[in-house]
Amino acid sequence: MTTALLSGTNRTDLWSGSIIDCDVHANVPSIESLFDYMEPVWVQGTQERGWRGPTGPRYAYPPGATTTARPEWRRDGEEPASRLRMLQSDILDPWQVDRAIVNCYYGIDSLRHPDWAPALARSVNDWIIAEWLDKDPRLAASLVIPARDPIAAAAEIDRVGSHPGFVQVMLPVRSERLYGQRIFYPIYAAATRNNLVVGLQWGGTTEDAPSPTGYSSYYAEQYAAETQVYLAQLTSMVFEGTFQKFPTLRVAVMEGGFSWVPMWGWSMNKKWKGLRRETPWVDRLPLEIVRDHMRFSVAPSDLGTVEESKRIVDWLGSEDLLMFATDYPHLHEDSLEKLLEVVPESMRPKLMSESARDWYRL
Amino acid sequence: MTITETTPAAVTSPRKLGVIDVDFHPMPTPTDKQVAEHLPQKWRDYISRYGLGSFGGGVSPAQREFTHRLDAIDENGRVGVDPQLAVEQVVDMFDMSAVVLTCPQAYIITNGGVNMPHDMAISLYSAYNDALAYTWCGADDRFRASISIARDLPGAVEEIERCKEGPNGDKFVQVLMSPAGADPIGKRRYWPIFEACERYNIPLGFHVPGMGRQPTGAGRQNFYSEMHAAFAVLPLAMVPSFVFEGVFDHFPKLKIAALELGWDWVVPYSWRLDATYSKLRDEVSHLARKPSEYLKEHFWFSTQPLEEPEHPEQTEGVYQMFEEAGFADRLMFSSDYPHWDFDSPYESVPESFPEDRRRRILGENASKLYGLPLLPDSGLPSPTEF
Repeated sequence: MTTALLSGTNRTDLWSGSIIDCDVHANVPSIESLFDYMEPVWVQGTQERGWRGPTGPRYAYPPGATTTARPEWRRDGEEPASRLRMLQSDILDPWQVDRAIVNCYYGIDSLRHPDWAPALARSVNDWIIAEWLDKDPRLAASLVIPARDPIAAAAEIDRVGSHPGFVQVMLPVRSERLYGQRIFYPIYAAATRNNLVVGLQWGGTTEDAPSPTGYSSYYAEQYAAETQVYLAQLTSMVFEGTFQKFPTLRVAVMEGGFSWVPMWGWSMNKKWKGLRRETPWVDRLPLEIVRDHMRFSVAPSDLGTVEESKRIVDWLGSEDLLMFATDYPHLHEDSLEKLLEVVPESMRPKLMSESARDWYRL
Repeated sequence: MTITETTPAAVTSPRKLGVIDVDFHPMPTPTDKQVAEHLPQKWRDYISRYGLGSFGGGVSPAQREFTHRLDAIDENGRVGVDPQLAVEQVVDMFDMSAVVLTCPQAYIITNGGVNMPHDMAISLYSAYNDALAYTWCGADDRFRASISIARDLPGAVEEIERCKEGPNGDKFVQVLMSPAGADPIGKRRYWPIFEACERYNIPLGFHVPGMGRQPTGAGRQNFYSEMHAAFAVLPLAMVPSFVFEGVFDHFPKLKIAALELGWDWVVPYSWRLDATYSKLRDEVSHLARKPSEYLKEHFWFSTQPLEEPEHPEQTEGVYQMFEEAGFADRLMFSSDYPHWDFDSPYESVPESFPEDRRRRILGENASKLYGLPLLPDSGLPSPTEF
């Protein structure tokens, strides 16, 4: 079985303790489903243009790609993961989760209009509150922002960030500028002011190439290589001193894997030792900053053998860094039995629920 | 007198540990005689009036002008222009059998050759390649050269042919380009370069920095140290394109040398590539094998900058993971002379390592890849000599 499916096994046989799923998706079924939450001017603007909604979701998750939804979770005529009842019957009930954190990637940053994009973010957030958070107490959620406009993003964080269901600000990993840069400080100021985690999530701008070397031909290439965008963003936040400026800032990394984290940390440590006169505000080893300020979802894990993978977990140097997730409805082939075998026994409760409970203050 | 054979059979070899350095930088500028003498007067004049037109560079000043180690500066205040100094400081000091010269300078100062007259860019690359062949290889028999090419310009293959079929053909043992450019490396526009590498049976090397439109998938870094810390973004973007475009099914003899691009990311990343292949197999069903198998068969790596785990006792596990995954014969010593983060063979491949690993990394792996013999009685002292 895989991390996400329970066929052929029993949830309590697999893990009898508490479970928090830190990454389940809620997909907007259609732009029309947001009309009840949208100012009339933008409803009209949508209708008269015949606009079908942002393009971001279908670039990040091509609707027909195997990875976009498990076959078991595709329903005729309906967008996968687009209704609460789907999430309940596919994940919340069978997994008996304490809590699940809903991430709605709607591609706000694939819309350029500087008034429309914030309006779209507002409608998505109000839709999340009404259709998800208010209807199932097990849910918490990320709020979405127009990330290319940090001032407008901060305003949206302040508008809805105090809702008890919102525990995170979703920051899509692809942007035109690296997120450590000071222009983004209003977002971190607002997130910390509202006691919210900042969650890096696959997606973001659909402009320019998602790599240092142009557009890939195959989705598989982009999918495999997305690690490099996460790595670049997190390196930027470390070297720019984001965590010295915002010492209470907590970052969660979703859909980025974690097997690369130790080596990336070692590389940062080494350059910090040799070159830290350039960034004197980075006041300790970067890998220590990672451990203090970042957590990583385990969906996907994409691990090697148990023995090989144990090394990676050991090299993380902390039992607190990993958080269980199904990444519903996306398809992964990770085995939860294997992951539980890979991590030390003392780490298993942290992995399955406690690290997320602590990080998201649930 | 009867001489008795007393050498114990168990001793593997008393010979020295041969050393080949696969990343060693000449750093001349186009106004240095060693380059300028190969440059047509027309382009010398052009450069003196209009410069190199290189946008993008210099926005994050490094810790010193040439990012050099302090003692590599010569009496004229220059770095990487005097082959004799380099021989003294490294080649002789560590009794090396061979050095593979790499000159990313050619693509750094020309910004990949894309923002200047085409003929000038091609002339500049040729002049750099000739400087390596004449001035450097001419100064010491142990030097070999890489053919730097402008990956995104027409004429790259012709430059490979010009170098290999010219008077210094045997001195050129590798083609070298930036790991990032206008397009991912697996695209068809680059295939004639792979064909040329196969035809001349020489590896295709990649060395930092990336010369694409942006250094990351999300814009440019602000700091030199930040860019350095995230060099891994380059191979992480390059390898999937090589694999999923099916390059190695078309070019089964192609050998890739990833230089100054790290190696400790390789095994975990091969898991991700295999998982991607498994999950998205319907899209990339043209592949004959799993991605990790192409990696093992077609890629070589260099040591510098030395991977330094957080705790010294983790080092052995990092090497074991690499070796157990099938890469024991794929890691090659490199010094990165004359840069600030130079590694000596003793730092890169410490004496605490098993001797067979030291032999492989210090010289044997590079000797096989580049076809360069390890000189008898040259190298580091063997521990079994004592």
